[in-house]
Amino acid sequence: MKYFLPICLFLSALPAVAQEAPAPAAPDAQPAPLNEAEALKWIQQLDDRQRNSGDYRTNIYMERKERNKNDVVFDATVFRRDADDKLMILFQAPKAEKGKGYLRVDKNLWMYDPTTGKWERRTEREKIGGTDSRRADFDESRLAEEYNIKYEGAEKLGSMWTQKMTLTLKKGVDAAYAKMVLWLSTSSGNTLKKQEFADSGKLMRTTYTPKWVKKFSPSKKGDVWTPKEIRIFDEVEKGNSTTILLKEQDLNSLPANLFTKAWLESQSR
Amino acid sequence: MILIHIALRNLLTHKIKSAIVGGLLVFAALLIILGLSLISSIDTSMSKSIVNSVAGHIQLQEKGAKDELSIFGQMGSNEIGYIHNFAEIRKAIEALPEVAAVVPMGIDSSIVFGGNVLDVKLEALRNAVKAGDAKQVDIVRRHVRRMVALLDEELKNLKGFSDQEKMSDDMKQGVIDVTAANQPVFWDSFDQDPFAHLEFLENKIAKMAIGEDMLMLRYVGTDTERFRKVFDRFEMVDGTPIPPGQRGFLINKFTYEEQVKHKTARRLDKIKDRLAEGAKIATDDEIKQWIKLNRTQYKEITFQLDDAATADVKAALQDELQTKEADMAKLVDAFMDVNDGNFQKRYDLFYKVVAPRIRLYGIRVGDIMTINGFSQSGYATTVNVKMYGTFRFHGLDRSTMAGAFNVLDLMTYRDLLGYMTADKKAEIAKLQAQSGIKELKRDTAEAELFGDGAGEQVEDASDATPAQAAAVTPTDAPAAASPTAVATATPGGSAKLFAKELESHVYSQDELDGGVVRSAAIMLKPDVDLKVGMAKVNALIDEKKFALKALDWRAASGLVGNFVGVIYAVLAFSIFVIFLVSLVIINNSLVMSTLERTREIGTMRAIGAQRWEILLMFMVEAFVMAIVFGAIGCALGYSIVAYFGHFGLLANNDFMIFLSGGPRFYPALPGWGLPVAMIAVLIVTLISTLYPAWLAMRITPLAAMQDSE
Repeated sequence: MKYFLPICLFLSALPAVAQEAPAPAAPDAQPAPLNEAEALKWIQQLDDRQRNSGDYRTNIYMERKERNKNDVVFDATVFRRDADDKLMILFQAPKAEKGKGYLRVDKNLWMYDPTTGKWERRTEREKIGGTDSRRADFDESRLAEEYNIKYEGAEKLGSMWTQKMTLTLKKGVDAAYAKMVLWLSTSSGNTLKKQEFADSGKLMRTTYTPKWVKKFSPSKKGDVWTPKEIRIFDEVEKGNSTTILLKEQDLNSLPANLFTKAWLESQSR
Repeated sequence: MILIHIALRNLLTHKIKSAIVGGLLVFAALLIILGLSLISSIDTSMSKSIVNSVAGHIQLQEKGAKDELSIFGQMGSNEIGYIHNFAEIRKAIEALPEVAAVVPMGIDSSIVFGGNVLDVKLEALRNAVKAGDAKQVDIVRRHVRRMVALLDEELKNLKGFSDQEKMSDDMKQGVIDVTAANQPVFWDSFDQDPFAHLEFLENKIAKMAIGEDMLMLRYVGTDTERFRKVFDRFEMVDGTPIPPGQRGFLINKFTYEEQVKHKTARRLDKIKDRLAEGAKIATDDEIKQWIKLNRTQYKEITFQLDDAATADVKAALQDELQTKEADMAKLVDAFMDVNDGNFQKRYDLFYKVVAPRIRLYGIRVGDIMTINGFSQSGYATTVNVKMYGTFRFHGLDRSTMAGAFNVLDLMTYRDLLGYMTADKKAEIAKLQAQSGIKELKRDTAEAELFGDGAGEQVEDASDATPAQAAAVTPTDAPAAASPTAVATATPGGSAKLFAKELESHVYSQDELDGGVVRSAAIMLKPDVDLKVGMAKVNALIDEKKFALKALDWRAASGLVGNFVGVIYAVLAFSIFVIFLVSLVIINNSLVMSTLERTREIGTMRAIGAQRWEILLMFMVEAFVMAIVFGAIGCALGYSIVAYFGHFGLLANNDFMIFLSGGPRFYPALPGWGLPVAMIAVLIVTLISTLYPAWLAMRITPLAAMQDSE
């Protein structure tokens, strides 16, 4: 009986989701072109599928490779509370980095270093842990909210057909990049490839997300999709790349006071 | 003797020719003297500037490193390599009788974030709350409250002038939040939940305040005690040297004044200096610009004043301005509107009343400063280090190039460098092995991920229960701290205590010498020639098979060190051109002169003069000209050099100060300068005379008679 209400709510939501979802297509068949409204729906769905109405936690592994330099490697935990636009990244390993963290509250991105006990404001362009990743790579997807969408057409990515779209940053929005081009899977609607450009039009990063994981969220009453593997290639410093693995997603509620400076500080005591 | 007599007579007879040729010879000799003294003096003073401040006579770097060491050109770590066995190298090189000392080094840059003014104050409030210092909490809270009130007032004024419709949603929300934080109810409830209030102030309010200060510091990471003793241009200005073996930072006084000092105070200092040089506010556009900035940036002062300080400053400004205006912004604006008549009085008043009540320097002697570096692997590293004081390189106080070098202890430098120890490498390798990642190359990534046989992979993890997820959570993952636990947590912790312990830890010489360094400076004993020193060091490197490359100070200084070479080249080219022109003109003049003297030469030949005697006569004439006019040129040049050598030439820009090794340039002529100039003039003159002399030798008495007819 206790599952009756959630099941009813879930079933009642299904038609709405089904109506807005991209029509599934075989990846080897050329998809039908989209109009602007349909393209926007694809992006809205992309955002919605990655969003959780409750909390979210995942362990990540990051590895940065740079020419002629030692590899940079981290284990970290990412916490999200999408409803309040909050994000925290807490480094766990290696030992020298343990306890360091990023905290995003509202539009503030803070970085904490337990060895100095200092909080510092960082910008959207902050390279997380010195890798090629940015805050937005770990945070809730807000593409429809932050970007204007233009449909480019169907295009093949390797042997797969994708829908290609160009997103340009809306006025007044602060983001790491002014423009991005997405290649979306025709079968799942997930982003498979992303290229990001600076204001000048220069290509800055190419990102591949070949693996996705979905998990049912009781609070959302739907699946929450997360990239499982992110491959970022630096297009400015050729030869530099970052790989991120996201592991063990947990959609349970997190402590109420978790997204605070005090909590992050307490982790290194 | 008769030939000299004839030569002198000829010089006096052909006055125009003598004047042209003599003028050229005087000019050439003058140029050589001035050029040689310039090069020699710059070389000497630059040597003092560079060798005795940061470079030493010789620098060592890893052999085969990708980049060559460039002390004055290098902005980051670059690929200059590493010296791993410094202790052994130092011991061996210091055993050479020519070497006075070897100093370990590494040059790098880092950033110190100041935070915006409100951020800094909120951090102080957070620390006071964590420390449970009620008195300090009260003082800082009142200041923060005042800052919020000023911010609210400013935003309300802004709202009055701008169209609210054009405000972004964030801005509108920010204005609402600031207004809320300026209500008595917010502050009345502060003590009930200080951390929640702090979070609100830090996240909602501070971002609305004025911009963040960011300081870029270039430093030499070194054994600070050895550095201080070996480089004799180093001298402390404020504070104390870093205690031997301890961690610490010393800021160059130039950097301290230019970058760390309160901007308004610094601009007032610059106006004062400019006026002392004879400038007038009424006619100097740059001074006017500084005054304008001081007036518009009144918040740099008003934000820093707490209630008591505001009352004091307000009273003093009202008195000075003879007004009852109560608005501090307007008062500061009016006070900063200085002119030639009131500047000195207001400057004195600023330092008497305002300066003691504001943070005059962003970093003060004794402060713990947080510096952010980029490790060799590219990721950011942060360390806390105590600022012990300021220093300068004697005579280079105003030089941007020398003034850009600060001093950091070697152990902190190594922390910032993030050098991969064997332990760290092993830990990284273990994490990589656990990840199971397959590396992809950029060029083939797309094909490998989405080509035939590959494609998007979707995994359904809905079956994984939270318990399963938790089971694979690292055991040292963050524990869910309760609000109570957070609120009652004691200030400080293991990481902080560790940092505190580091601050007072005294490292042994073995520990300092035992780690990695990027380069090493060798200081030779006073009378040792650089070439001899280089040869000895290189011989030792070969003998011991050290993987090192030795660079003399010019090479190690990068472009700056090569500057003397550039001057040499320019001067040599100029002299070459002058001599070439002289050669042609002297030659032509003498040819003309020879033709005019055909009758005279023919007569000489008719009465028995031999050809070699004619040749000799011309050569003697040239010799006399070279000696007379060369000497005049040398005397003139020597006088000019002596004059400026005594009074000095004002070095009017940073680069000239660095080249001069001080604020004035004192040229000096090396002992070999005069002989070199005379010999050069003589050689050119004699060469110029060869052709006319040859023509003269060929003149026969018959030709002379025909010429006279």
